[in-house]
Amino acid sequence: MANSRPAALACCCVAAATAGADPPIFTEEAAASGLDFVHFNGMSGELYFPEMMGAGVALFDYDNDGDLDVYFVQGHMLGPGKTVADATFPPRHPLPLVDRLYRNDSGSAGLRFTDVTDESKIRAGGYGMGVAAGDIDNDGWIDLYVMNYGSNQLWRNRGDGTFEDITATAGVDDPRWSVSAAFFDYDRDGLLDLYVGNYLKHDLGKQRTCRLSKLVADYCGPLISDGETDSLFHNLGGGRFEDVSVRAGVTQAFGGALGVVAADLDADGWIDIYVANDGSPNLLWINQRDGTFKNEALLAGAAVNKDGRPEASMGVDADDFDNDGDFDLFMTHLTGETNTLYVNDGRGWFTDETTTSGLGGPSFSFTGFGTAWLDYDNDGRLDLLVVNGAVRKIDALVRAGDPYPLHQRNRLYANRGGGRYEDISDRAGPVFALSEVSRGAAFGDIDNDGDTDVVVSNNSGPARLLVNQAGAARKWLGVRLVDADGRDLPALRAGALLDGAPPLWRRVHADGSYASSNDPRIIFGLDGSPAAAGVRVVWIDGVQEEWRGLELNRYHALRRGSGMPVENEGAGQ
Amino acid sequence: MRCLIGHRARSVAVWLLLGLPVAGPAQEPPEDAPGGELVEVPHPDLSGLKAEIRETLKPAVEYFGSREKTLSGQALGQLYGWLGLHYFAHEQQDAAEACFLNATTLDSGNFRWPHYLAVHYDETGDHRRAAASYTYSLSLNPANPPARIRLGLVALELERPDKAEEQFELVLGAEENNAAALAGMGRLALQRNEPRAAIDYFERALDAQPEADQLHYQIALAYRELGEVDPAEEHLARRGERAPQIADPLLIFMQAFLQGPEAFIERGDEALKAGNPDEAARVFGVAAAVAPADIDARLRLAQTLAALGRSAEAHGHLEQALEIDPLHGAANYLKATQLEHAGQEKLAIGHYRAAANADAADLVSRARLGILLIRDGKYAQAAEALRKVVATEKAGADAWYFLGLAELAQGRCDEGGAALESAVRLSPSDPRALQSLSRVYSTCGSATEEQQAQSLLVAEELYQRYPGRHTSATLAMAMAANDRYEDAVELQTQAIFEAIKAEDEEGQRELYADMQRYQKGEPARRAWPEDSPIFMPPRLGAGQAQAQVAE
Repeated sequence: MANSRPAALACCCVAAATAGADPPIFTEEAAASGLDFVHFNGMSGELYFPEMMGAGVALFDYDNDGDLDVYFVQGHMLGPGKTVADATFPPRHPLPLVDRLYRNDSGSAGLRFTDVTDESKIRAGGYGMGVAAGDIDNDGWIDLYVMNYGSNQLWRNRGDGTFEDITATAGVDDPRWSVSAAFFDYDRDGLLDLYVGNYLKHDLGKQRTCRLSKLVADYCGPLISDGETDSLFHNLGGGRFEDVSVRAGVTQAFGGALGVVAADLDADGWIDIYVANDGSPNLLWINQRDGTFKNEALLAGAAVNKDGRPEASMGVDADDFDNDGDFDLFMTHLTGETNTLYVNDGRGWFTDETTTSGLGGPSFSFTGFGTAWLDYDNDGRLDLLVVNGAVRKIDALVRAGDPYPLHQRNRLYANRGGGRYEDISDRAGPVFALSEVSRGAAFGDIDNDGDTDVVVSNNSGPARLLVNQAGAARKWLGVRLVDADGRDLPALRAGALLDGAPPLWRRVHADGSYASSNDPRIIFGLDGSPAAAGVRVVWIDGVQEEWRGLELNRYHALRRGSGMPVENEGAGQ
Repeated sequence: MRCLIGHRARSVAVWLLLGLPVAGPAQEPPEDAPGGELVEVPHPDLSGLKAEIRETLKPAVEYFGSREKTLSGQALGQLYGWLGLHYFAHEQQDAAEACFLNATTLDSGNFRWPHYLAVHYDETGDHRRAAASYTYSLSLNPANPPARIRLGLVALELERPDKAEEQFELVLGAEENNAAALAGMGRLALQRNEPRAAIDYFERALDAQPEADQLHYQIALAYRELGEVDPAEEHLARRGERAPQIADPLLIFMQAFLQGPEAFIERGDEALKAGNPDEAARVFGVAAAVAPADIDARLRLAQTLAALGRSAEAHGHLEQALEIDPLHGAANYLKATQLEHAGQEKLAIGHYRAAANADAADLVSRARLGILLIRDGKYAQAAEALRKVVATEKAGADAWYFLGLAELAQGRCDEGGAALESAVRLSPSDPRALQSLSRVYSTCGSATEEQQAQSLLVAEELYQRYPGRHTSATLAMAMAANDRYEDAVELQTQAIFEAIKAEDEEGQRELYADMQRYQKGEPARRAWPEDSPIFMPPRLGAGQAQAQVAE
């Protein structure tokens, strides 16, 4: 295995379905590719709240072989004295019930994954919720932060195919209920810091009857428990962190975090944090450039919806869906609310445009979790994929005698331009007809063919691999941002420079969605766009570089310092 | 599935189901609209619902089941609507939708059902169908501001600002300070990038409903758009989550279905205690609407309406109560009293009997049964009924008295005397009982000398206090029983004279018969003649029984 990723990744396109007039946009290939993970939630009839909240999934290249590997977060039995014999649904994945790492061994024969958990030496046996991936020690190998209902774990990638648990020495344990996290460099010191979103104060021993429900037995919402404060860990280097949550001010507001994204939302050149809270106003921690943050979500118009009501935010993403040069926000919500789109005016002030975008009505009946902006057809406009699954029993399913009546169908919304979306789920492929309790979703180009695929983690169900069949045939340009040694580098943004048109700015990130971690590479969809003149990167410290003459339909590793320096201009500082 | 009653009704329901816009009467759906069958109601599995909800829904569903086959057309539509309200109140949305659709179809002139259906669609995010249903409801009843406001808000969600504005303006034309409509106009202004106008609307809405603190958030956003951060932050600091309320009587009524009838019965009782029968009738009416099978609610309503002089309505509710449960005690009692008041005594007897059979502890019904049986000349049955009354410790003097009369009427002098003695023990100054007992002691062969002497003392006392024909005749009987025949003749003469004055020929005959016995030195033959008015105790609403003692 090489210790750095090649600049141009091999394209291993999966042939698009050809049967019929409307081939599927996504095909489901988890089982066929060996991705046989089945989540176990440990439910035993007690209706423990955590059992239906997990779990996430990560896409990251752990072995630096140029393709995305997959890490699944697993659950186990919940409740004092419970064993798997008490489980409502027996484990379908071979024991032991631990998180699983699958190596991407795809080649000319197609997609192929191999379970390498044992040889990776990862022993993540906590009740898993989420995962974040990032190179915390700048050694060029991506590490993992695993969040649990209980103590979290930081797994350092040793670069030899194995990991070691450095939680204690790194100082990043958090015994609370953590779900989502983001690695980001908030102080521009070249080291990835860590923001951990913590959910609720919860005690299995104090299980309460849900008085809010109309059913004899149902899960309760978050409002019966107090929210937890989040954590900010400052990376000190050498694999050590310091908990600066209080000093940085991020404990001054809280509300049950489920989704976290780090993005320069006010375009001042410093990375901010947006936290999606379940049932409480969301938080927008504006980076004060001095190591502290200030929650400005309310004035920014991104704390509550247009009616002034907080919503049950779960998954979240930030990106430039309207190609106007700033990062907008999209988040998923409970049935009876809508998914919500906050459009950035360029100054970090947002307007709830859910209604005008057409995203409100189609999402009203679903409880959304994992989500991301992706350009599934590489037309230059960011579409949306949302994975769904209720948190309260669905009447019709209860009537039908369904043993786990929370399942719903996932949705794909196509960006039609002009700020409008269209629900195209019904023609996106048979996988969108599946009704499952989907939670985590990680987005990335798993087959390196130039379009975005998706891995979905289903609660108490099999994982799904949604292979994109629509984008690779269109024009695209892929970039990976690295340092001189080929290590992944954070950046504020990257933009495809188009002849005679504004650049297509994209956020450089692995965070977002729900409890999951994504491919940090960027795919610029260029179908229908003017010819791409190049790519501009705004690095984390505000330095800008441009690369011209990049070949289309392949990935490029853009090494910092190898581009043309650009004076501050256009979007970003 | 049941076939519908009319093509027009069919079309409307299908229109609403499809979410197609239905306008007013001038823009009715085309006659060839498809459809023709009622929607199957997906009744929820009640066993999975919480006990308090199950206990509310179960009788409702059972009532629906008991009535569904007996009704058709509009009445069946109303039944569907009623069940829909139950389901809606308890968040059984799928079932509620089907019920409201069927109600809209069958009770097609009633604006309420499409209104509820629209609210259902609104709350479940189907704005297209919500708009169609509100529009249809407004075509049936244009004077429904809550529907207009809701339609306006839905139109905003559907990105039809002109339609929204039209609705809000119609509302504001009639009620310029309607907070919800003003807030809607504010949202419209914000959408149109007119923040100053938006602030004005929101401020006016806030003036109209200061508690609607959610408006501060919208005001803040409008100030933000103007670049005025300080006032924006001031309003953000005051923001809350209370939206402007839409005063919607139909939804307030629906809330009653959540509380069940008991709360409204209690409120009605309190209103009665507070001397407000109109409010009591209104509240009892809500209880009866929520739970048509709740006889308690319906009877209270009937009684209150009757007391208010609204006899026809009272009668209707009482009939419905008896239709639900023909053997219900209180319903039969109430019906019996109505009939007795109306002079329909034979019918009343049947209902008193049913009431008494329904509840062995119901002494009032049994006593009234006994009294009416006496009036009907069915003395043995009367005595049987009254004996059951006096067998309880709660029996009063009246029951013993009427039992005494029933026994006397059958010629059972000793039994009658014993009953009257009990009546006198319980009510020593009751002149009716005293007089009859005096006569029993004066006429029964088994009377002891002491009893005969007592009869004289009592008769004299009564005569002194209530001088008249009956007390005079009673004293004459007692005189005769104590061998004072001359005094008896004299007093009897006086009684006859009074009877002549009263032109009571029947009475005169009995008096003359006893007179002849006194003249022959014989006591009176019996305490009361068979045709004596004493055996016709007054029915309800026909005055007091004192007439037998003192004219």
